[in-house]
Amino acid sequence: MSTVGDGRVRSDAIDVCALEDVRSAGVLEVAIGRRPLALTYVDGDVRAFHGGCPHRGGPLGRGRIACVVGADSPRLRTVDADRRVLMCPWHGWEFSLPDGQAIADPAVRLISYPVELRDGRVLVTLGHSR
Amino acid sequence: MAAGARGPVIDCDIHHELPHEQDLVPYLSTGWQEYVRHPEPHPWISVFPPFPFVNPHGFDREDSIPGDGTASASSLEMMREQLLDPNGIEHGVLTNGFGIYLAGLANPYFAAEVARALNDFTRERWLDREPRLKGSIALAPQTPEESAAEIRRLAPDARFVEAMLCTNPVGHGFGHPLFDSIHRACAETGLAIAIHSLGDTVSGTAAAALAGGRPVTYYESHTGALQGMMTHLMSFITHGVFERYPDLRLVLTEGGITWIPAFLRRMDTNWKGLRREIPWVKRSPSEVFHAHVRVTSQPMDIESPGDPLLEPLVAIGFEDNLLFSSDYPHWDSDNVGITAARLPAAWREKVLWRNAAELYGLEVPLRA
Repeated sequence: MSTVGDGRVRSDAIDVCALEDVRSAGVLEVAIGRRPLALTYVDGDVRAFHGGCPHRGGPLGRGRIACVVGADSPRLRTVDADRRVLMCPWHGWEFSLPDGQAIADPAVRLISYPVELRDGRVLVTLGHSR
Repeated sequence: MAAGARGPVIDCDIHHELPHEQDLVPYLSTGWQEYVRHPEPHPWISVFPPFPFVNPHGFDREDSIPGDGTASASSLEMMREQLLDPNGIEHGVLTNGFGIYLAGLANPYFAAEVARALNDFTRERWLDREPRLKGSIALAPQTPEESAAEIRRLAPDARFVEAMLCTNPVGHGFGHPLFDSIHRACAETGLAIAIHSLGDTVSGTAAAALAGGRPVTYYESHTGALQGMMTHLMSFITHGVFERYPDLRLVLTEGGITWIPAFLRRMDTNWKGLRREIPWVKRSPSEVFHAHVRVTSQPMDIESPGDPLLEPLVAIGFEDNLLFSSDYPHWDSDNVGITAARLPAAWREKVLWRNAAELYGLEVPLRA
């Protein structure tokens, strides 16, 4: 995990990694100061979330991207290749991408931060979390 | 509390019994009568599986035993005197006595015949004689297709309001697709499925009576009976029975209530992490429970409206799920007035009759 900046809330964008790093990893753990971030890359779209899982604090930046699995009955299991989730590596909670909404709990949503791509770099702005 | 002062009552667990086991024989077909009537001097074979435990003071209220050699709860007149009349019961759901253990019979064909005969006995000797009484369809689920046929045979008689499972014949929870024909028959006929606890204590059952090890005393068997109810509830939710049959309702009978909030929390928590394994379960288990499952009150380990164990039940909105039951005539049966006094006042109308009236589609004439 790479660490940049001092983690204090600010309004300016912070360079956290190369775009290629998150593209090749799919999910990348970085930190701004002591603040962990989980970066995701899906079909050219980069997102930045607070890196602690809201369930039990699992490291979301070490999670993985998966397709959404569904079923209309136990015999009709389906995979929706157009919808992705970020899965926590600890307890398997799934958060839909790109919005960070927990699949199994409508009351839970990941904190996300604005991302800017500039000259092959990923820049995150902490001061504008959603 | 005077009878009637509290308003109407629907009792969802009243056990009725044959005066003598042999009284079922006329309800069996000729071929099966020959099967049970061994030639003299051999005794007739028993129509029910053997029950291995002893209650040191008997299984029934002492005053419910007629004293003429017939079984407790085999007399409609006594039931009227002791239960229906003094408690102002508008509707009482009969749930059989030893008949709930039919899946413990080794011969599945005989078990199905006994179930059919018991249901005819219930209809002729009880429902035809007392309009306040309603029936639970006895099933021998060793043969689910035959059970489904029995449900469809009796469903047109509106006095039968549910089909009852109890003893586990195959060692899988009752939500397993092996039982799908029973689920479907109930869904299509509008009957609730009831599961009565304590079924796996009889000899011959395929399921362990208790998780972790067999009980050797009645105390263990009776106290631990809620374990099987956990299995069946989890099975119905895991296999998506209510997703397949959105109008189906499940009644957990005589399995206790105080364990339910903690178990729902456990199921919800694991569902959030393991949803990918059972993606057909689209709502949280606690949502499914609240919408589809009803639970009878006895045995109710709540001592008063201020009991701390009530708080988790309040938190899950359990007033919508709870149905009054007496479990007459058993040794641990509950009284209407005392049960009502142990619940929050705001719950009483729902628990004593309204929830059951909605579940079973029963009309309740309100007293002035």
